[in-house]
Amino acid sequence: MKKNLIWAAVFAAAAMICAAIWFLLPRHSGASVGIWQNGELIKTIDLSAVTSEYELTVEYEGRKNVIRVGPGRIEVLEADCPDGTCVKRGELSSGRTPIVCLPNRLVIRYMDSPGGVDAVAGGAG
Amino acid sequence: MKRIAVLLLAAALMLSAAGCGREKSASVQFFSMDTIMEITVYGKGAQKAADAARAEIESLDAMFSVSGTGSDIRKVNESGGGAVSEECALLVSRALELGADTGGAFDITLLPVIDAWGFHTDDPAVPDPAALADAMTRTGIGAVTVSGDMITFAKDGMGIDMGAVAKGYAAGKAAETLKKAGITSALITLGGNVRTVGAKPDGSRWRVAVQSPFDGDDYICVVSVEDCAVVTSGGYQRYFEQDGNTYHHIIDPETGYPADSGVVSATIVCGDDALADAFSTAVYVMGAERAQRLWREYDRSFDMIIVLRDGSVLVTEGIMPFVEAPGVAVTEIKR
Repeated sequence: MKKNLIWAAVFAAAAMICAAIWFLLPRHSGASVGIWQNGELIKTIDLSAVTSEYELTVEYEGRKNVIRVGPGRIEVLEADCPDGTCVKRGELSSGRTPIVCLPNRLVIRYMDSPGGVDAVAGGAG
Repeated sequence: MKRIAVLLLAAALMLSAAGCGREKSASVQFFSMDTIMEITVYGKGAQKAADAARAEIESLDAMFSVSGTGSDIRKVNESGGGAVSEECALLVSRALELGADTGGAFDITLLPVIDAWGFHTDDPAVPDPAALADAMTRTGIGAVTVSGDMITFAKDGMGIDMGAVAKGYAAGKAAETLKKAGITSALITLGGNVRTVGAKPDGSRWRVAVQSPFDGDDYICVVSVEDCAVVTSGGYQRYFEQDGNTYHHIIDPETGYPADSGVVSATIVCGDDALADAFSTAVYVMGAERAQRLWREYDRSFDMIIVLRDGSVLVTEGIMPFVEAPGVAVTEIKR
């Protein structure tokens, strides 16, 4: 009987450790954005964990995009691409459509689809 | 000892059960056809199928690109006609038919006009009226003939641009590739074109938002679909400003200037990808009234979501039950 109790306790402890590992594993929160360059995810940022504004610069074939990150928001501040569409796009506030810099092959978007939307049909065509 | 084995087995079962709910998936993001593309595939063999679909799209880009070295379209434009691959000839022929069906609102022969505006360059600008008038004389879908694999231009200096149909066609071919690989659930986005394969892994419909033409970060409605294309045309993403005016890239073949029909966003939902792409442009150009006539003439084999300049939305009856547009004035188009 005592042995059974010991085994039950061991099993329960193992289950709790597994559960703890499961919940502590890094995963994308609703406010997590990804930055892709030429199809490759180069950085993820949890915007809900950002407390003060900062800038980061990404380069592609010698050209730069300066990205401004703040609490709950992200935008392209400067870009030396010809059209500047990514700068005009403004902040990724509600996150339904990505920020895209085609010349510099940069994409910034939320990791999870907000509002249960799977894709966005837009007027690029 | 038996007890240990039983407990370990139970633990293993619990852990494997936790992973059961997770469908295998693979996603590829890449740049092709001058836009960002993403293919997300669910099920067994997802990665291999996604890579094959990407390869299919890239080979079609190489065929239909207006500027790519060695592309069929560039070759035929530079030579004033000539032989192309069978697939290219078939799509050019189909595009001419779709153009005729839209009364010329969809026109693949606008390349001289697009060049006059500089829309394929980094510095688009309003063209000189004489240059624009000259470019307009070198257009017209009736002046292009496809016979076998030969494309013939009836006028000197003509050129074709497949940009408003090739992405749709490519999305359809990518969907075919995925289905041949046994995939029953996938999502393909080629720029603003969306192509769904089957339903979502849980069996529900895909929820595709239509981007708001008034706020690039918001959407005007959501349509729930399965196994079809959702293609939107609008002048709000590719444009330039000059002397305080905004000029977008969708040219009205009748005027040579950016279309100004009162439609600010035109979405086509249907299973025919090339048609969806071509008609979204055509509806944007022709306006809401002509679009409704086209929809009826086509026996309602496609559906439309039209956003007008005043923010109101027209939806054809086929997809009305699947459209959510909270806070938006929606009018149903009936037969």
